[in-house]
Amino acid sequence: MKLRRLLLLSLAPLAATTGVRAQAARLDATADFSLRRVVERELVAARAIGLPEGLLIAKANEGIAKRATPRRIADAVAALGKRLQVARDQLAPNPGEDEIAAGADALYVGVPAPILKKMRAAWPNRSLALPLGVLTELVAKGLPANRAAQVVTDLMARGASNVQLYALAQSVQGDVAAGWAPEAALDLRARGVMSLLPPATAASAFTNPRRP
Amino acid sequence: MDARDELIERAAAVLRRDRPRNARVVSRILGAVDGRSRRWWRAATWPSAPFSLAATLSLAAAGLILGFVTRDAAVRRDRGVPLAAQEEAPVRAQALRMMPASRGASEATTTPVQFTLRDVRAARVALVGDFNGWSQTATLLEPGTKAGTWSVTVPLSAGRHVYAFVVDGQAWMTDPRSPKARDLDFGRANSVLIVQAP
Repeated sequence: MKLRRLLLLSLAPLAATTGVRAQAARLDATADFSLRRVVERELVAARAIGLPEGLLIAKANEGIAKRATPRRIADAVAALGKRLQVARDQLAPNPGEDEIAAGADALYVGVPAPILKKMRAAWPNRSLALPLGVLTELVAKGLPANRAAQVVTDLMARGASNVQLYALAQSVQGDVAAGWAPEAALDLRARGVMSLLPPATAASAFTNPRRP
Repeated sequence: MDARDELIERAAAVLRRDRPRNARVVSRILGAVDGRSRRWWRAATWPSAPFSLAATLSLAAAGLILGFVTRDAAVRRDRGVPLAAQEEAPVRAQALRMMPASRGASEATTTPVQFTLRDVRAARVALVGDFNGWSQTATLLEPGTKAGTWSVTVPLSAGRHVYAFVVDGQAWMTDPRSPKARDLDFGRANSVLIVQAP
């Protein structure tokens, strides 16, 4: 009886480790031993709380491809793990892997975490991968995160489609590349999309909080 | 003791004799009604149930073998060693299969996107990005008919993607046709692309 329990107890962590090792095997073959150990530790932590492990491996592979030091790669992987957790929690209840990844990217460029929750509230049953990508790109182009988030969430709440959000991002990207100030480009292009949408309803009121 | 007492005593004796049988019947009926939960209970208490040493050792051996097989398959996939089913597949098809490795499309909708690069000195060009787990072996560009042109088409899910080219396994190159994305983690810029749903 004791031997059986001992064997079963020793098998449980073995099974978990084997799963993590199988994932870690997707790490670039040139990863050194110490980096492998660090990434495996992060994978175990991610698996324990149900985060997508593949994204952590991808981050490590990106660092390896860019010839970053193992220390830097380990830090980046750990930081991504934290962002993924925040993104997953903010995009609850059932975010897809691409949404969690897009949420983590948004946090990476400086989008405040509560914005993700607002976006989920605006589109509870649709994928946020594209809107989050548009928001991330707008902020990456130099727009203040809160201003960009307000425009995107307002458009979502007013019924803008993925195509319209995509067009907004493309237009602003083009305008900024042509030398426009990012905020001026966003205001102009957002007005253009707004003009095609039905008037604001109560559903979108939360994106336009009353100012004192 | 009168005749009535004797009758009662005989009836009681019969009932006492029947009690164990009744208990079994009751137990069987309850078992049938509650069969599902009992099966769950058996599964939950399985580790403390009687179990032979041979069976336990067999289970341990099976677990180890499964673990090593899984690991070996993953290593082979990562190193680009062709699995039996992939042996004859062209590079482009391999790339398509590798796509969901990192960022799966939750809506099962992808848009084919063509990546091109012009580099007359390149002997091998790989596309790396968040869509293929930044793997340098997953997506190789094919040389075009014109010298120095390289291209590959990959299906991408809707959203923002960052990527780059790795030339000859050494040089990191952003796409000259796409905007750049800063990389604060590693210090080398990526190219950025927003894909809309089809």
